Amino acid sequence: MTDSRPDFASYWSGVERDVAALPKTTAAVEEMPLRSTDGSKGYGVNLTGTGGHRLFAWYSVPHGKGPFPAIFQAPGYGSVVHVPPYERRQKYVVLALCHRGQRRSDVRYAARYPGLLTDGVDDPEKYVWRGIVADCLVAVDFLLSRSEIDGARVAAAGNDLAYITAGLRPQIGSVLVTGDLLFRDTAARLAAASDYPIAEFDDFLREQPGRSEAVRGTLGLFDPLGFAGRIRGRVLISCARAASAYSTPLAKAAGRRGEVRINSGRGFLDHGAEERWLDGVLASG
Amino acid sequence: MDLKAIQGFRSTVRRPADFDAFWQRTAAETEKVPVNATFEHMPMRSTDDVDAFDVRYDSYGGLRIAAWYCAPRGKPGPFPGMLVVPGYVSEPMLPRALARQGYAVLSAAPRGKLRSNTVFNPGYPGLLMHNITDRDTYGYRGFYMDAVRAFDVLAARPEVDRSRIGVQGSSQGGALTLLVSALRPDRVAAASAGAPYLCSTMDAATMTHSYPYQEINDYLRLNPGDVGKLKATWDYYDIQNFVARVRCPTIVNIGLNDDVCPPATGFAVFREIGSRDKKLYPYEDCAHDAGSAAGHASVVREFMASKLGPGR
Repeated sequence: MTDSRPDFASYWSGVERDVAALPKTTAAVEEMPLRSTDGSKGYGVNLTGTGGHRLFAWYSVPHGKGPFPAIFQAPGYGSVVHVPPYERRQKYVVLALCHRGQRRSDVRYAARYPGLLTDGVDDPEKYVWRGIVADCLVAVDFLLSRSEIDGARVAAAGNDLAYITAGLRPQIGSVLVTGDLLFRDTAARLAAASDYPIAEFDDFLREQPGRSEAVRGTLGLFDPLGFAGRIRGRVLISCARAASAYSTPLAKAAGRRGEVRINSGRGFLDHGAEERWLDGVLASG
Repeated sequence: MDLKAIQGFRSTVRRPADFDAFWQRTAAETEKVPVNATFEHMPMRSTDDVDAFDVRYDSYGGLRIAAWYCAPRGKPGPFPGMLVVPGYVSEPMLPRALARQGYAVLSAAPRGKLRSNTVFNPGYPGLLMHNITDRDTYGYRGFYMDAVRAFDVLAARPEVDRSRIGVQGSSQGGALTLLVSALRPDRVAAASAGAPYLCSTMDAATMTHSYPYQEINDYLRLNPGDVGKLKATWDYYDIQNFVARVRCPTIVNIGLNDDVCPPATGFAVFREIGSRDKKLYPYEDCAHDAGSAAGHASVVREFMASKLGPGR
């Protein structure tokens, strides 16, 4: 096997080219009365991703006269993507993507846990997360095409994928980053990682120690910090104190537009602060 | 809901006259299925200090169920056992951290989880509502038995000290922890249930818009006439109706601002737990995290260590 390690810019240009080459007429939007509420209408969206992967996303539109601010909920690490939270659905257009391999997007490829994080990791062109980022771009392009959204008030929320997606789609005005980061300075964190999912990399390298350099090269391409210069809007990094050393550079790179909130460890307070920040940035655009 | 209202809540769950008979019949049907447990060693997921195994066993209805098993490597047993039961949407991860603490750990993936979904795969949302209007074919019937049988599979391991087996989990895992402790009252030695789900279920759905309970609200919005049928089924499945049989030392943690599993339902189920050795940990300003990042993870670790004695 030969290592193919493109530089950062050419690698992601290639991903964007793949997405741009997809047909633009493949989105199918189906109303889902079961997932509607008194204040919002729910839909299921079927999209086609790179490689022909069929992708599902939850889509919700508030009742009333738009256009509305919009949130792209980047998928987390796990098999299930929730229907978007009730409170968000009452105020915002919300798109919650199930990336390739997650439930509802698993016809051609079913993710394994553990296993998803290292599937193809020693070859960046074959790494499954290349396609997963492309899935996020396909979903955001769908969201940006909708007439019911206010294109000046679009945010992304989630983990690394929210940040990376915002870097590749400058139309996303603000980014809320929460939860454990999968790719931020991960190569340097491997030795200290004992818990999954990061421990998947350790498992892989224990079995294939000769692939260490290739794995580290791939991880470097996916480090969200590489996208910091491309993000135009405001950034909130909400993280645990134990994760602050490697998480806060994502906010600092945004200068005055970046904020860090160290979690209190009390979910009601932390989640409330995150939602208020989102409300603020989506109110002002 | 303020603390006084949370504490004052009274569950509307009713205990059917044939509740015990229903579950005795279910247990008897499960017992007819040979366990056929297999443990396949996984070199890739094993480390210098932990051996990891891919576990399969048969359960209610003949379904093949998966689990992970991790045990200390290179140390003489017997080890205290720990059953870890999963949340609603999460996929069970390999429990290596607990094995490093000295436990032999089984992490169960009941039917519908990715590795156990060949036959039964209602999805998420979906599991909570699968055949909910029929108590006999309701999805949780087999799901509950999968969790109980996971305990039996763990207890049958020769390196596990059968007198020192704990159960722990949060959310749906909290519910299953209480369920297993109730249905194996003489064998579970300690239980830790976080933010327990499936307690006063029909009441809970009226107090929240968060999933999974929102599945019930979604369904009733389109089928309002079925509320009686859902209540009738849930009287057989509600954890509230099991916990009087719990005998082991038990701790329960609750977030007082939990929007997923309303804290009032957690207080209600705690009151009914039959164990004399029980303690409730309510956490202010916590939601469904229920204090796990505010110190409760250490509480659980110390509680289990004191009751089960890893390294002893």
